Amino acid sequence: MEKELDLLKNGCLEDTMHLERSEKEVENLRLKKREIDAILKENSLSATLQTNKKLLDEKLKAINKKQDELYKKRVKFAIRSTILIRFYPMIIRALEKVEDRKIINGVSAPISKSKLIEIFREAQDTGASCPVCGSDFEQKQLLFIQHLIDKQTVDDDSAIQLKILKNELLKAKQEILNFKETNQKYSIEERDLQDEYSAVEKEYNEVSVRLSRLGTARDENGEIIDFSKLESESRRLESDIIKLDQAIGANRVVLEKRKRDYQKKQEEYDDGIKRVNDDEDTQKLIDTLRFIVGNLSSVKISITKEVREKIEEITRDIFMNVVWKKDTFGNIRIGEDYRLFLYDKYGQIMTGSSSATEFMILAYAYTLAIHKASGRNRPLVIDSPLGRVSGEIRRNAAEMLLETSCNKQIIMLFTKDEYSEQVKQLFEGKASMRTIILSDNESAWKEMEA
Amino acid sequence: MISIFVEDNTTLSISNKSREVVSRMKDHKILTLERTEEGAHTNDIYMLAVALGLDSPGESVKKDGDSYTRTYNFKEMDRSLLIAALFDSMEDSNLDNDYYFDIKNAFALSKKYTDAGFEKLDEIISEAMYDPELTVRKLLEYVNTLYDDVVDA
Repeated sequence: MEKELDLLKNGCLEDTMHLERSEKEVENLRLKKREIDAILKENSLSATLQTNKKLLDEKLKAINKKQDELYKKRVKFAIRSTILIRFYPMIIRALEKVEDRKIINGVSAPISKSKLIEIFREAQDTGASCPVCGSDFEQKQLLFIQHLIDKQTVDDDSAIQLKILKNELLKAKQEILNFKETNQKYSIEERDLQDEYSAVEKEYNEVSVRLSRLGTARDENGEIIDFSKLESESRRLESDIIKLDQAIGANRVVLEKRKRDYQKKQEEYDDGIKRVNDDEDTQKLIDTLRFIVGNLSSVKISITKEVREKIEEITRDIFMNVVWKKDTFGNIRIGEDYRLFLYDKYGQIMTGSSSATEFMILAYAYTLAIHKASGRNRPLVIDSPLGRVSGEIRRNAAEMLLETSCNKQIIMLFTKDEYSEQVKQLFEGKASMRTIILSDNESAWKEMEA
Repeated sequence: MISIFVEDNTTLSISNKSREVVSRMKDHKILTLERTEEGAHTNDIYMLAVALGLDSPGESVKKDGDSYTRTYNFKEMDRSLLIAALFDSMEDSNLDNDYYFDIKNAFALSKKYTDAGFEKLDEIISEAMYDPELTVRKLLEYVNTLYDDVVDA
């Protein structure tokens, strides 16, 4: 159970750190967007279009809100209508039964039948007077009370309840009869809102297109401002912010659940400990152990974080040195699960959109960084290390491998074409051993000392 | 006094099978009042299951199921509908009989309908491919046809 608690606690801490990082990231994106929007606003046409765009955006959000409210109403309506219409035959039969008894339309329900019987008996048996006015009952009055008792077929409590029941069932019946009309009203409202949304969206898109077609201008320092580029950048940032906000929201929910699980488990654990150990000394020992475990787990987390950051840094250095696009890539991040994320200079993830060569370089950089950070000098075998690269990148990659080989044994398996003149010149005399492997067919291999 | 409308707070359970349908509904945010909220009020969903299962009463859910909702927040109209079902369950109902005014009997009867009701609900949700908006449309289509058959007929 302690291990489970430890896992939950570490999970909470890692999720919290991840969340904080995401929040920082989204804040940076917001800042960047604000800066771009400020530049766009300085241009008068752009400013007008920006204002229009903002107004239209607000309109879209307002329609969206209305659509959400209508959706909620329709959910409620669908549930209520299904319930009521399914019960309809029973409602009708129950109303008929109540009507048959002529309870509600007969004697007024709140008159107590049992009280009437009591008054009648006392007046007949002992000649008791009226409990309301104090005068003696005349024969005519007693006959009237007798009539009331005969007419009232259920006792007063049941009558009151039947009256409420009848009212509720009549309300339900009326609601059912209004079904078609209400349903149609909601359908019309839904269609109107959709039409309104489409119209505003069309206008919004037109403004966006106009904004993206704005030309260029020079700022006070003579630098060229490309409005269309800034506009698309602003839109991209907006979409990234929305995505990140959604991810943060989802992560918050996960974190809250994990925290609750942890708290629940901790309470169970504490209860268990309390039950088993009433002894004060044992309790002290447990507290001490708990303190040590807590500290050790914090140390473990901080070491893991340090190692990950070190690998991140080395991967970034190696990758940036080798890759030929110097103005494209921004950063490299390693997640808690050791997944690698490559960002462009605007902070946009581009791990999924990189070329095969960039991927290969990234993989080398990551592998070498792990090797370096591990502190253990184990040999590294790389099959076809320069197969996917050519020209200057091939040379850069070869240099990177050569540099790494100064402190680490690297065994590289080249094809004949891959081991080009350029590579040969670089490695010749520096590799401690070179072996040429030839094959007659697929299964037989010959080894030759070069 | 035994009463339909007396404040009470007993637990209504549903079977494990029905609980699975509820879980699927929660996972896909089906019939939620807030898109982010966990679900509609449980008593509404309970009443919906009862209504959908009215034609196929089964065994009353016993202790093997999980408690799903409590009776204290059932509206007067829902209580009246359950009493109407209770009236209907007996061939010769004598309205002077206290049995018909004890809401506990009505709630006990309602438990017999939930299994079939949740099964029907699951069918509708599957047809709507677990899409929340499509489920609402399917449900309204179903009610529309039902209205023509039951009310207009």
